[in-house]
Amino acid sequence: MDIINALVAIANYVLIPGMAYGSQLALGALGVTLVYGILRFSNFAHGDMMAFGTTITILFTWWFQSMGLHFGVLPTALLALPFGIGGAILLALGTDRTVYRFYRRKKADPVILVIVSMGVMFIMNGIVRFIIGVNDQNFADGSRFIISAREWKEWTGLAEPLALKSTQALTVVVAILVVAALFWFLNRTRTGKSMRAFSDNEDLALLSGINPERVVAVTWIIVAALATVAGVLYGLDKSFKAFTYFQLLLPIFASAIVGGLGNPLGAIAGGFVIAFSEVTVTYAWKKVVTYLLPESMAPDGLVQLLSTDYKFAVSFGILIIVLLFKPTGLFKGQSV
Amino acid sequence: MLYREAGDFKTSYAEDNQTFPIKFDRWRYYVVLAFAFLVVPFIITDYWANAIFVPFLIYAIAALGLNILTGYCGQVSLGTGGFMAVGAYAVYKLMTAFPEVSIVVHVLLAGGVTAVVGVLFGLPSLRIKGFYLAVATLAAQFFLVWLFNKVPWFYNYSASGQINAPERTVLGVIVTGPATEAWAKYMICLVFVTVLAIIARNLTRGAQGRKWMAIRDMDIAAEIIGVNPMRAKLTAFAVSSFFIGVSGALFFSVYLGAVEVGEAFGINKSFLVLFMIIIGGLGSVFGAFAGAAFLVLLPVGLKVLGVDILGWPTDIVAHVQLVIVGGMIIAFLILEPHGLAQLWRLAKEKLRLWPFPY
Repeated sequence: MDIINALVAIANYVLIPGMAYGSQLALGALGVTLVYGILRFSNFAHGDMMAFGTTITILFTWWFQSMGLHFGVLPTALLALPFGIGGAILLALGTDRTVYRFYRRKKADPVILVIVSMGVMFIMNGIVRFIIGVNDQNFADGSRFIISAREWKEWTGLAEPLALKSTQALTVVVAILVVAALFWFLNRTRTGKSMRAFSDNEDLALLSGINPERVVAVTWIIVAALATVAGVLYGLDKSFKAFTYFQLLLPIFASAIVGGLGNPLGAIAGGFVIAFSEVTVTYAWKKVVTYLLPESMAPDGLVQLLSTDYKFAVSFGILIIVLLFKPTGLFKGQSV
Repeated sequence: MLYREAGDFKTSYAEDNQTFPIKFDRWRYYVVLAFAFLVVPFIITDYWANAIFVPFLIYAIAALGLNILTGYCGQVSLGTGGFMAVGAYAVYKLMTAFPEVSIVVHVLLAGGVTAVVGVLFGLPSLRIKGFYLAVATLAAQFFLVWLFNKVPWFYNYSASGQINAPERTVLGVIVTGPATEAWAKYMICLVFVTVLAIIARNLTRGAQGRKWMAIRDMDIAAEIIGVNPMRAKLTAFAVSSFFIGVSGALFFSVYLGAVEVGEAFGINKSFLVLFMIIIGGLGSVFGAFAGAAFLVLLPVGLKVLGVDILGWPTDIVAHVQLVIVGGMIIAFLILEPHGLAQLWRLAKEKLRLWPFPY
């Protein structure tokens, strides 16, 4: 029995990665949920918008690095982030002008808009591959660890290591800042209030003199910014590959739906639910169980419920259960 | 001038309701069939069969199936790739378990198995619709691919995890396995396509098709006039999955011969077939063929143009292809939501009035 070591092992392998991944998913799901709330369709192109914003950020990061510009212990990518956001905003407003506005005017079915966004997804995917190719790109720099495994052992004398990567801490901090800013914006400013009104009841909002084009444009700007931040954080934490971002779309959708589409609070909760269940189900619990049980009962196998290849299966399992039993999500969202 | 109803007198109700009411169309249809059955098999080469004709025919079956579900019954599905995989693995298990039974029977049985699986995954459609249903079928896609990868029973415990089609014959001609000749591949697919297309046409214009369309246009109104939504939706899932299962079975046994599930039946296949029916035209049998032809020819055409003529690197051409397909989807949904089939219909209408359009 060694409860402290067991707790440290859980913190190291489940809690910290889960928190970081959960923040990334929550930021992504917030974007999906905002588009759903205001524009009333599910944006399949979100993953590729993340990829596009990240691509621009990476290009600027490389440019800054080649000029010898660094950001101290923090990754240079943070300096390049505003430019990435700017690029993503231009792209989002551009697609809205050329594509989505047409369907909005025509009051097309949501399903048509979903299929349209798949088309947009393919185009963005092609553009990203054009610019940066399909290979892995690593663009993290600055210091790697806040607490490295060796330092931890020296400080505490415990057998179990604990490592905190700086990107993981950064992810959580940035996510909290961004979410706080977003909620302040939605609840306190005039534009934010008009957005919420528009999302609640479009006709009433129009009657009270809210300009729909302005609301939509502001939504796209926020969504593009959120997508880029989420994409860059994910890229810093893992690595950037155009195809992973497309796959990331699935857990993001799952988070948004589990939390309740159109509900920002739900998106955040959903992101953490999905992230923690993915991490816990695919984590090999052998270490923790060995610490907790007496030695005679130590397990032989890995005590892993599913291999890590199938972490997407977890989000879909949760998704199906929620869709069948509570289609509006954990927090009351909108139902189609 | 030739393209007129005038002078072509119908004397029975059946004649009045035929698929091609205009004589010229009827003859054109017979000529196309005769050409496909009697001329193409003698001139077809390996390249033409493998690059164009066989994939076109097989995708046409899949597109017909998805069109029944999405185009006629209005249920969006992103699980096509997964259902094709069900057909492929069913036919593989049947082929290896009962080698003495004809492959044609196996392909049809594989379609039946897929229909059952399709109904199972269609059950959520009773509670959810639109985008949520799309996500649920997407889950089917991932779950099925995962299942076929994970359970060794499905690939007979082979070390590579691949399934390979053993050699089977129809009327003494080898149709599966590596020794198959181009014309045999082409003929077996052609026979299946022709029969299934006739079935699809007759199902969709009969009572069943009208029920599906009623559900698609407005489910509550359909329920009030006496269409049972549960039965209509589940039959649509069953028939559609049957078609898709047959196409998956042919795709594996006749076309590829050896399949690794994630690669051959991944999510991209689902998108591909969905795009086929959008570009071809939702709710139209001709549209399924047009869309399949278009999306099979597009990569071949782009490769010939980009790589062979302009000398671009292959990967750039692949990226361009993505952009073009995405652009086509958006353009078709803006300019012509009913796809190539509607363009074809308009052209025929114009031709019928020409040269005196008043």
